[in-house]
Amino acid sequence: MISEIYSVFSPSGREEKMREYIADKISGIFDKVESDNFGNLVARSGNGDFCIECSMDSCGIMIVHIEDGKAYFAGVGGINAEYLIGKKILFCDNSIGIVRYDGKTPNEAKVSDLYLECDSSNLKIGDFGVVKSGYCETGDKMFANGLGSKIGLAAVLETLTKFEKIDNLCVLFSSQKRLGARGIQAFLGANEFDKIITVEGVADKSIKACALVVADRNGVCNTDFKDELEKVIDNIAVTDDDLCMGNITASGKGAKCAALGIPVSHKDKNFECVKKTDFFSGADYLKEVIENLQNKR
Amino acid sequence: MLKKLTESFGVSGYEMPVADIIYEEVKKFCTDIKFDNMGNLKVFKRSKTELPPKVLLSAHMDEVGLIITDVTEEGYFKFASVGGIDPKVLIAQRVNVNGLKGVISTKAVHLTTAEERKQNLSEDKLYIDIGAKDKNEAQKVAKPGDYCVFDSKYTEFGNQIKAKALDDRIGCAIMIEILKKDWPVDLYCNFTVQEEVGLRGARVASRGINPDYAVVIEGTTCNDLPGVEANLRVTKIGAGPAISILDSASKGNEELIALLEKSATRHNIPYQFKASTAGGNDAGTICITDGGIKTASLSVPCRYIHSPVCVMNKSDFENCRRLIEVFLEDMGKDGKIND
Repeated sequence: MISEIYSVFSPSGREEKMREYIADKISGIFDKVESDNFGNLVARSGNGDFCIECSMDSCGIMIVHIEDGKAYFAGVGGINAEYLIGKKILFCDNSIGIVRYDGKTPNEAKVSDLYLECDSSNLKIGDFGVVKSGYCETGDKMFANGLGSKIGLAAVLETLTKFEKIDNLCVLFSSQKRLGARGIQAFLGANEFDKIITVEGVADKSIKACALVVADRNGVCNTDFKDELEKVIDNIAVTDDDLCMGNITASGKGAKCAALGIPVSHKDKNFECVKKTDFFSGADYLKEVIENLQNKR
Repeated sequence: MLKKLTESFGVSGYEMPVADIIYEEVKKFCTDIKFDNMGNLKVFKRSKTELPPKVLLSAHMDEVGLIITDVTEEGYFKFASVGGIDPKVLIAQRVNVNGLKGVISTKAVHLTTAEERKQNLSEDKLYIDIGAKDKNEAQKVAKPGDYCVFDSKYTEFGNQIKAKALDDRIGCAIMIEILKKDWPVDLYCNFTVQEEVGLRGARVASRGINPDYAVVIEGTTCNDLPGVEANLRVTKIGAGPAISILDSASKGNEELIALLEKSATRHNIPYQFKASTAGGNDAGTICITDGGIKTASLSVPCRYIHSPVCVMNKSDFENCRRLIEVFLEDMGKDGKIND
């Protein structure tokens, strides 16, 4: 499933293909699956006060200027110029471009110094693209550029598809998380929950195995929620990554928030790596959390 | 109206002089006008058609400016910026301090050390001189917490206009014009406060409206200047209003952008896309309000934005107003363009 998810085009703000893919995967499991005005996909059964959040988007680029066959671009989400040099960029219509840099000091390059060598007749200002690299795996390890941004979604889908039907749960597949958790903020402005778990890839310098993250750069988890989750996940961690816990906690009327973190090595670098064991243990934890919730009801 | 609005005083947090001008003007055409607790001015104009779509237009009343932080023994004012101002544009500018003229200056270059000359200019090196002989005399004019604005007259030259605060009295002036007419939509016009200090007014003002679409009308950056490479010019003066696809605060809603483009094309109105992801405006907070509002920004390009000498093109202003008007006209009962 991960390689399939990885191949779906979904830069921040242009997640429509991912919405379709997810809606198809989870059809029948929830009472209702629908998009909101912001572009989030929301799956819901009953009127429960518990929500699982994962993001649909990945970082990318947006074309801002085309001249003499060169397409100049801006970054979408946190994306590093040096990292982009030489990468293949894929667009929605499957056209491609290669990132070029004519300077001599790649480590000093800015995104505005780069351009795409491409067939610019296929492109226009405002087109979004993503870094395209092949997904590959060996033994316990999975590799791909930007894999960390999709691993939370993959774990949630892996979990949900194990159920025939889920009651009293809301799952938010959020839009534009990499642009400042905007989809989350929009959704929580109109929907109220007591508890929310966000599922995300976390740099492996802070967690060495799948963990319950109780504090990130901008947020902390309420202790009663932590105590409840600790019965399922005994590996507790703190990270200085931004998993948007602060945005979630303080949006709308506020909610208790914790994160399920899946370790990602070489995060934001070429070919991020996730161990299958970590991925599947994350999905198992999540399944147990949902089962507990179902039993409680 | 644009002259009157740009020459008025409206630093973020002190927008009442601008709000008063707008209120006096729109009350001639509208009856549903109210101020909220933050100072946002909210005007509603009901459509005479049945089941009309709801459209929110939003423009901010505030401008960047200065706030007095201290008075020196010699009678100079120290200050901080309110909103984003490059300290380099402040040197030798005239300012209005509670109705009195002042000038901003710093130590003369021949008095600076070699080390100081290498450093970037910062606000703490600048002061406002109002001609006071000492602290006591200066304190009779202003005290810490008082606001100052650039002292800059509205001036037309060629097809351009020079003024302070075009960002965003442009939007205010266009919304006033729009409110003079009736439209086939339920029209909500929010004149917001405190955009320049964190999009705060719009966050409050846009709640509870639940419009089908929201359009933020703005003045935006324009760098079509010598020495700036083509891919960094963002917008171009005279090429029409700019539609933002993505900036640092929001991504324009694709459906709404398509409607704006379609209206522009149908009515032969030139437009351009803002070719940058930098900057941000009230769309950033409106688009995430009440579960999400389909929002886009339409802006008039302004050279030298956030300075006393912003420059815009009259045709861009007119085309921005026209595009908003035809967009409202083109809205059908179901919120789609009438083909």
